[in-house]
Amino acid sequence: MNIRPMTLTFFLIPLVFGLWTLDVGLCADWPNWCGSQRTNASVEKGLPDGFTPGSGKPTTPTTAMGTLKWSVKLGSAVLASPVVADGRVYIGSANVTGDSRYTGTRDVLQCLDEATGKLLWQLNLPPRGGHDGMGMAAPPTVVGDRAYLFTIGGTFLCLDVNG
Amino acid sequence: MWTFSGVKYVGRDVCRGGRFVYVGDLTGTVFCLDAKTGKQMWSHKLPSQIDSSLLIADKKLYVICDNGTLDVFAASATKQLLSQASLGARSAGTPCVANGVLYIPTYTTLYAVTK
Repeated sequence: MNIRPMTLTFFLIPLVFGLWTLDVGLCADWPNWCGSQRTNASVEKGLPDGFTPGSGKPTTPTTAMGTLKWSVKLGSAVLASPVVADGRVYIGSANVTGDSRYTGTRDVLQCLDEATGKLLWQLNLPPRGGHDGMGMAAPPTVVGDRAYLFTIGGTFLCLDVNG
Repeated sequence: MWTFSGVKYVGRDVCRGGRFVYVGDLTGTVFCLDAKTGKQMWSHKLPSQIDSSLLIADKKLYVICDNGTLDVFAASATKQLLSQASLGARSAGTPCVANGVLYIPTYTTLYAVTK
């Protein structure tokens, strides 16, 4: 049987790529609430069986507790969920330890470096009365260079992800 | 298609992983249901109410309770608790996974965690 090289390549590339993705899982961003599939499910593999910043309590002999890559201090009662897109992590907070140019408790959105957790920029909303310290709760939706966001005060914002 | 009336006061979203859907409620109970039939596969009572959405990744179910415990179950037809640990602060945020890193928010800290 005479198989031309092009035909072989045509079949081999998808096969190799398919096996590779089966083995290591697909790595992907999480650019919006509930993830890109909007199912709160990820296809990634190789994740920890648990985590604690203190003393953990694994319940099976094979449990592999996670190790800390980095952590970032938020406000005191923050309800936010993170999203991740193009090397940046976005999380709502309440400006306790963020941008020092802005004092007082106010709702903020922090943009962090995905690799290190370092603060890249911070969106500061005007102080609001009766602040409960809960900060900005709704995560943004990131598409390309734009992040779309509803604030707790009901304002819809479109942000440049480069700050 | 089907209804399931076992939950009380669901605060956040249902998540789906493979053949099952998972949901937590404000009594602190997490449920695993058959996605096709709605049949309850298992449930587990946690220490406090669940304010966040659940996360499915790497065949595991990650559940954060309001009192700041992270419980991790095998995402399967039978109940298997892999770990239960304190995050050191209350939490109402939903965890997520991106590029091999698990992100865990609490009231006071965002943790980026790897295996």
